[in-house]
Amino acid sequence: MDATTPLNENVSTPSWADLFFGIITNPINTLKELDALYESAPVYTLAQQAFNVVFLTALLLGMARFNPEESFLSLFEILSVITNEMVVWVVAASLLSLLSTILSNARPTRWKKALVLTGWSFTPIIFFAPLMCFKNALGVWVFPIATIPTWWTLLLLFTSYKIALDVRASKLLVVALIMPPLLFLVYMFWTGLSLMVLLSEIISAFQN
Amino acid sequence: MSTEKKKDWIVWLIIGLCALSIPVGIMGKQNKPKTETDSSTTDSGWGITFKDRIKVISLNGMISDTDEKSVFSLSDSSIASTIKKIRKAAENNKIKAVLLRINSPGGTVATSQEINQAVTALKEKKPVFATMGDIAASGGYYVACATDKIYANPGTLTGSIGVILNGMNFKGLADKLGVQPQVIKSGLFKDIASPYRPMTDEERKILQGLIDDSYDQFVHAVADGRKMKVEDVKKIADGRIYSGRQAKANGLVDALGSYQDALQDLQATCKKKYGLTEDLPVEDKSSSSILESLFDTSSATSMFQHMGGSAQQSIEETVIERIMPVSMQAKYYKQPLWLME
Repeated sequence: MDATTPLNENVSTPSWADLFFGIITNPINTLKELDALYESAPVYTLAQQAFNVVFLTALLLGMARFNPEESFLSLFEILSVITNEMVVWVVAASLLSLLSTILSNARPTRWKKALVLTGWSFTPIIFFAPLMCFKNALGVWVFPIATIPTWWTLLLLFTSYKIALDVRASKLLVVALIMPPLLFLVYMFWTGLSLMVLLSEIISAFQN
Repeated sequence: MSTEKKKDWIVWLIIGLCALSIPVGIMGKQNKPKTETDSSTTDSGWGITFKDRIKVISLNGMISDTDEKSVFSLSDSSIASTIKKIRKAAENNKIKAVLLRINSPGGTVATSQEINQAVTALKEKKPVFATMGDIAASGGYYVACATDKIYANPGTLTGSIGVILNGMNFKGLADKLGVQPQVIKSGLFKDIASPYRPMTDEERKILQGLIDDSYDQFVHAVADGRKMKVEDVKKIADGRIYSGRQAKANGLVDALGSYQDALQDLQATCKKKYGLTEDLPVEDKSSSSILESLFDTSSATSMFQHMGGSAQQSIEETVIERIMPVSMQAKYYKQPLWLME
């Protein structure tokens, strides 16, 4: 995808590979195109493409953790990684949609559109798979290298929020700094804690 | 090749390479030789639940039948929980051996006996080793002596085989302050050991009998656990504390060594007993994560105390904490009436 030209004027929806290439090489314009495409292209196709990205990255990440000595547990872990990433995606999209209603001067963003934009932001997670597979060879360098796809993903998420909401970066940055600790506290208190208690009960039951 | 095709080709190459790295990584995991360090690595993750393993159970602090677990406490290291863990370990076939990590100055007689009994029952089913931390005295030793083998560091404080009942007579002080205790009792000895009057000879005799009987139970438990003669135990059970090295010399512990030494020995015992070629994984949930530390109310209390808060800490406790060695502090406050320490 070129920085100056639109995705493809003749086709209503660009191909998945085209968008993937664009998000890697020219993320801002690609996200802007996706934002604009939502009005004209079929929503289902766009959402399906975003789903494919999230699913593929989660699947590769889960498979990278596969341990042949614990195949049953590893399969369970793959499922949990996929579920986890899907939940994060939905939460990120919901948050974007919510912010569009509570932030002043923000452009209204429908949940489906938020799903499309945030879904593509997960693309850099695909690079975790080779990182995890070669972590022994990389040694301690795996930690600084692993921060690259993490920051990349966060930056893409930030960009997708900025484009969708059409607000100043500084304003969004303030929200980004306040919202995560706030949400973290709420999440930890209600979901995380209850989940841990539930897990410990399940483990305790298994141990008996 | 057109630009579009070139883009497609690059995208599928990236995805292909990422996907290809997975089987390479899996093969790498398979071919990675298992080192001694790997096999003895402790694991607190839940994945270990389904494996044959060695379980580490910690016994920390005063031994008494109180459950101080809070809603926010993710790791439960209370004594009540320790007894439960020992009983569960006996029933769980996946747990092949238990390493008991003891760091306790002692506690109440009944609870020490309860843990001793639970360890004895566990020992009949699977190997149980004890490893002593800073202190494993009195009630702590009562528990340790029930295990198959005891490891102590040379500087560990142990022994203190005996029973004590502490009390104070405040009569003089109460008289000075003009305080008159009013006691209505159903029987002659209902206010035995009352701090508001001197102890009578008859009361002293009753309490001494109680202490002697508990002491006798303690000595017999040590003799049974350590396969020693009661007379031999009595010779060293005059209430004194021993260093780990002294305890090794008089037969109260089997070997001098650290937690790791005890673990390695237990691994060797398991290999022999179960015919294993590799070390068993170790389940050690004694260390708390940052998250646990954040949500542990005891940590929070400690934090408040360090910040100058004094809601639950008396001046006496603060003074004792500052002037006395840590190993001696438990002797002087927060102690139940009837102790093994």
